[in-house]
Amino acid sequence: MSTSLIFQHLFRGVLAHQVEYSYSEAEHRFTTMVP
Amino acid sequence: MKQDLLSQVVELAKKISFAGQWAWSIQRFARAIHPDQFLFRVDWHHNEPTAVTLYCRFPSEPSTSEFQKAISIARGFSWNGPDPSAIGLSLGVDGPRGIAFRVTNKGNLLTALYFRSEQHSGPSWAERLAAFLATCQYPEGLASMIEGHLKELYRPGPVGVIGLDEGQNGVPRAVKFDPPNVPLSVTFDFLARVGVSSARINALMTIAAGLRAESVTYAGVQYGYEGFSGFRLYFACEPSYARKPVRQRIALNAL
Repeated sequence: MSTSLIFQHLFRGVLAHQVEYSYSEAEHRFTTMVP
Repeated sequence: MKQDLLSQVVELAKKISFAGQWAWSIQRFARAIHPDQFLFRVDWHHNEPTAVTLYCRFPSEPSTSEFQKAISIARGFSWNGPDPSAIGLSLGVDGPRGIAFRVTNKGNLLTALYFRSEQHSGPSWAERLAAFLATCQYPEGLASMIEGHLKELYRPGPVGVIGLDEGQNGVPRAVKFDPPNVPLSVTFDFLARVGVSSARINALMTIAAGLRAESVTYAGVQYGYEGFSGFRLYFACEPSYARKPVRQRIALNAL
């Protein structure tokens, strides 16, 4: 299982309600913030 | 995020080849300091993590000696930036409110400190800003440029979070501001003025439209000793209210 799927699985309870994405100058890169 | 989710953070870290020491250190720190709030960030390149960060809020603002003791618990991490108490004094606050621990896929361990100012982002803030930059030992000439940028980005209201990346000999590698709730038009005009390519701005506009955003939650801007050094746009989302959250995420990942 890929890391991104493990991440989504582990934090599904929080991610269903709130998540913060962030983007900068760099293409194809982004962040997910779990509050 | 509360302490109970830390075990998930550690479990994820076990699956990330570069995050072993980081996980050990943040657990040690959390057990000793009992932060009252956490924020967990993963940096991605497509679907691969390139960095993980844990932001921890101190239960109360530590003095410099308390801070030094706290950071020594997070082995591998250090602080060679300005004296936290001196920064607090310059901003008119009691001390740092939070700390961030990051590890990158190159194995770099990075520390950042965060202060929270309730001061209104009006004219009197300019004096604080100048004092803050002087404490960071940044060139005097930078203050007017940063002040001009921030005047454009801050809406009336509290200044909020100000961050510093660790540096050398008391000089931070970067200072960071996070103006909240900045309208998209203001944000993109600003990015164009600081030299961001129109292709990237268009891609960011597409992302904002996909999220149905009318403003960015935070328009993060950062400055190094040489001047403006980057930006980061934050969008807070409530996926349970999105009609097609999965499709939305895939589309976002592709940009």
